[in-house]
Amino acid sequence: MALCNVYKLSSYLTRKSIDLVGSTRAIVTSSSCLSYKLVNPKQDVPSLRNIVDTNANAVFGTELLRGLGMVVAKTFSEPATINYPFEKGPLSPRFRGEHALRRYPSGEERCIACKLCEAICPAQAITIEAEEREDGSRRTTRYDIDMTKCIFCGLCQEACPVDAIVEGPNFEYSTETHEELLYNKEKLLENGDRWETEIAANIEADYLYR
Amino acid sequence: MLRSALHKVGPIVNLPGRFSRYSCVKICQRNQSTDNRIEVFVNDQSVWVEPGTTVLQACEIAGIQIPRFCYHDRLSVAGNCRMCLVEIERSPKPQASCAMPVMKGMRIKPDSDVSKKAREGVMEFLLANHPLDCPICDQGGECDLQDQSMMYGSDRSRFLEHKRAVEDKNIGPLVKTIMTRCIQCTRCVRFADEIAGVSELGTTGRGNDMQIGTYVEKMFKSELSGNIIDICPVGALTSKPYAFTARPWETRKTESIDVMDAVGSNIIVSTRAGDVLRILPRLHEDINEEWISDKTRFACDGLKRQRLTQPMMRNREGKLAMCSWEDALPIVAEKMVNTKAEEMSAVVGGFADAETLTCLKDLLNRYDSEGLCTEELFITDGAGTDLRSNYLLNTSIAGIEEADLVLLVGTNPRFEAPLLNARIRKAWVHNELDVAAIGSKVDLTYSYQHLGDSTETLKQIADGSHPFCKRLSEASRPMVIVGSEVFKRDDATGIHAAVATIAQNARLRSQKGGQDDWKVLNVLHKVASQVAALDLGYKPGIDHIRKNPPKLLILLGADGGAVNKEDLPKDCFIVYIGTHGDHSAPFADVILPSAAYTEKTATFVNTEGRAQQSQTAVSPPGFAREDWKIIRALSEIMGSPLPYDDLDGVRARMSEFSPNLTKYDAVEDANYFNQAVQLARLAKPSLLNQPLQSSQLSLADFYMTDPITRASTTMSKCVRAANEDLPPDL
Amino acid sequence: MLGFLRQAVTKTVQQSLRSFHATCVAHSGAKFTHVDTPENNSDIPFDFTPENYKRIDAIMANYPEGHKVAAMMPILDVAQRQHGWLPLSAMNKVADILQVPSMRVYEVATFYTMYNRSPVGKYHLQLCTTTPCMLCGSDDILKTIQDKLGIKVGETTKDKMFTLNEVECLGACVNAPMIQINDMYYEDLKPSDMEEILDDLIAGRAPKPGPRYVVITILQLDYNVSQSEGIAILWFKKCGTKILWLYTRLNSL
Repeated sequence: MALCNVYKLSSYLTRKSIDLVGSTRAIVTSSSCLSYKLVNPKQDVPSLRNIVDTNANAVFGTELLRGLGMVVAKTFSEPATINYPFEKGPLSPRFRGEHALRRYPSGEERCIACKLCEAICPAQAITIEAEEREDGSRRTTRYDIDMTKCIFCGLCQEACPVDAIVEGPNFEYSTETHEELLYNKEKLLENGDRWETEIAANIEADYLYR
Repeated sequence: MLRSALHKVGPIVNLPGRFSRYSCVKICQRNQSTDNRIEVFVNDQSVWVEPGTTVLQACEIAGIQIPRFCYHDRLSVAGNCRMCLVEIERSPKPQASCAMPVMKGMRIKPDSDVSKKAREGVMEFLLANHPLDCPICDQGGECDLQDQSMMYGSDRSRFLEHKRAVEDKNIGPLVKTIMTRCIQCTRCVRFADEIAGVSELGTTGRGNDMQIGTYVEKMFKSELSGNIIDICPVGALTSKPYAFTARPWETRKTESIDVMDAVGSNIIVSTRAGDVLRILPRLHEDINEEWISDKTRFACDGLKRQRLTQPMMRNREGKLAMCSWEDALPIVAEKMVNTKAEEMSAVVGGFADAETLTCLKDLLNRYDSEGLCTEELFITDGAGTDLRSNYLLNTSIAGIEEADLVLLVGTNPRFEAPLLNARIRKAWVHNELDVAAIGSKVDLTYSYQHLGDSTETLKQIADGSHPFCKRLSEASRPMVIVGSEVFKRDDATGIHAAVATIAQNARLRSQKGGQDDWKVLNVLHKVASQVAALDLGYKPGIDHIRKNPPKLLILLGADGGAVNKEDLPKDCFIVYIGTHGDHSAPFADVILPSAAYTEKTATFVNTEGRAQQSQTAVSPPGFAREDWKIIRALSEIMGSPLPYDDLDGVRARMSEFSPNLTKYDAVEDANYFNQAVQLARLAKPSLLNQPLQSSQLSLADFYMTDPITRASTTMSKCVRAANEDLPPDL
Repeated sequence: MLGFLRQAVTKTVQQSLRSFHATCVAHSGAKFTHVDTPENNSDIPFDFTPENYKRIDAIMANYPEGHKVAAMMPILDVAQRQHGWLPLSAMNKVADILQVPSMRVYEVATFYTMYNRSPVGKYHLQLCTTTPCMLCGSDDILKTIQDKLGIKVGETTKDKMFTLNEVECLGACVNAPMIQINDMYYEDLKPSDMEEILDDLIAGRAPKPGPRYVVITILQLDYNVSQSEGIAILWFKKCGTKILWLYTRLNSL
């Protein structure tokens, strides 16, 4: 009975507060007041039948049984979580993970040292130095990304005219020291070599929207 | 294409560019009274302009910038890029505004739809063959084509055809060519023809095959060749040493002054992270207009090599070893305190700034020493350096444009002061200036009357018996320019007296002709420090130390080769204050590293007597310090500190010596020509029979003349290329 | 059968090649920079003959003082006539004579296609292949020359006798197709005429220049023949010589 009273009181208070909200809103805009919706299941006015039903449910513990049923059902259904280090969730082709410098199929590095990524980087995480290579082509002598400065906005890969710098699908590159996150050109090219298949597939998947 | 055909066949004259070819440049600006101005309307806004103004200039007066590629203020009008098309009312088609003179009541509509569409169309055509390799192009970020296609171009092209490709040319170690990017504006061709006077560039082929080049593979042999990089509106001509180094947005620009010659060109120093990356010209109408010489532009890599970065001292084995300032300065101070005044001397080199000269003078004078010399020579007899008019380029560089006759004595201005030579050429092309020269017969890029190289000629002109005197007396505004190299001769006094006499006679005649303050006598110095040093009372030449062998000698960047170990007494203690391990540092006992011209805020006085300030672009390397601070610190350790310890203090002291040193960018008229001539005659001058000769005869002699250029790899490549007449690499 | 197969294969290959090249390359393929070769470099001496110096003086006299440079094109022509083609040293010589920078001469010489900057044979065959000549059968003439001499366009025979070039309209469309051999025009050509001319040249005879068929125009339209198509046959007759049949569209008259 006490349970019943508590329930009544709470539903009354809820309605009261809804009225209150409604009336205060009404001062501002009348239309929004009218469109105000109660999302909870509608509470009936306490009647004898309702009270009997509720008390019967409480006494026989039906909710408990239903809960138990759900536990049993979920035990045998597919779990919503994944076993992370061994299982991984799906990633969008546009996922912006660890950076990589790509190469052409011939093995030639793509980066031409145009410095557009350096210019656009809002965190100023990229440092490039360039020089003429022996064959006269324009190449970087230094390409550093400070991964601790990087905000993974993806502007560098948008700016790149040759798809050299990309943010690949890798997000597991935590390190123990800060220095390890200061990537240089070798590290980035190595990333590119390692992730090329995935990166190429992602770019392929997204080509319509680029 | 018809246009380019006409351009080729039509008005070409015997010498590269005189009279007819560039007559169109001579937009009559002088002697135009304001009465005959005409009214035109730009976007319905009324503008009054001189007749003969082009539509493009009229729009500029109205404050509207017309996009252009081939048009350049200082070059003749070509009208071949078509980018400057504008609509003019009642004209059936859009007109090329750079070549169209205004007419009375003309209504110009630069912002109309027709104009916009015309520009868009022209841009589409220009881009039809342009490779769009902006990401790998060095011009990216400072490219006219890039900017203007953003402003005026369309966002797409209708051309699906193959793009044209053109072979790159090898025109030397300074200018890199990527000819596929060329849009055939012919600015470089016109620059080479008109300003540089070296007609080695041209257009070959026609139609879609037209290309810019030298036809035969050869070096573009000009001392002003770097300027074609600046005037190229696209990335076809870029700087070879600066290739791929930096983007314009990452560099810091500092406005400064050049010290490679005595002209004092205005420059912009581009730096990034403490490195001088490149040097660009800065506009100064009275000095360098918007050009600079190749030495000014490309010698900056010499600022990073052979540098002295730490004080050095001779150790017990007699070898120079690194030490700290705290070790070096007390030793120098102790030596100076213990040396007698008359046994103490200082020699200053070509890069010394006025502040340092002031400090050094104060320091030595404090110990009653008068041994202050400059490495460069000048006369000491007669009026010597007492009268400023005796050692300045009195007419001023811009004054050359008003002159009608120039007599060059013992100088090769093309290599001693390339921009002064460019000014003479400009006047020769546009104002029909006549030039005569006594000295080595060299190619000055303009034709001149060569009067031989004997001093006898000079004497005859001075006493009026030479046929040239007739020409001289007919001139209303003659100029005589004497090169500083003649002062190395034993008969320097005699030559200066003869030149001063010629100048004074011409001056008096021109005054009779109504030219009141026309000055004739001009001295062209070779180094940047000389005028300031003479203003401050330094003795020119090292006669003083020859006569009084010093026990202690301070060399302030004296690397010109005037002072040698053999000339000095064995027990002489040599202190070298300078930037490079060049000529003098190896035989010094103590080396104190100092700052180069890009690393200090300092005053330099050019050959006209114009004081200008260089600005600190980068900090000196290693432990090097600004020169005047070194001397100030030395004075403190010696126990009698100089009475100033900041730049303002030094400059206040400097203006006590000579007020003109702190009047920046002003040229003070020098006078007393009469007295100078009279004093010169008192010295009983004589002339030797040796021919007057210049030491810089060919382009290869131009590049390496001082510690910075000798340390520069670019300059050594240039020397090699100029000697072999074959570019070493592409 | 094999022939059919070959045809089919060539056709497919041609079609697929066509798709690679959407448009033709829009330049002539000629070189507009100088490349040193044993027969053409600046070290080879060149000088005009005394007669040609007289000619040059006469040409220069046509132009007023200060505008002597206008004589550049005729003098270059004199040089080309003397040497057969225009080597680099000849251009330099012309620059010397006119006292202009040599680049100015190079500009002019590269602009005009009639200055041959590379060696040509004794007979320079310049076949017009512009539209009117092409419509009248210049392709057949070209094939005749190529077959007879064994050279392609732009090539010289091994004995340095003939160089073949295609040129644009030479202004003799009225008697198309035509060829210019050195300074002479040969017009109204048929493959057999072309062979005859080449035979003459090889044999050292001088073939008669001008139209192969003398034409007298009789303006008489015969509407009886294929009138429905609007095509008339005009025949122009000349007694005693060959008759040329000329088909032309009525509306072009």
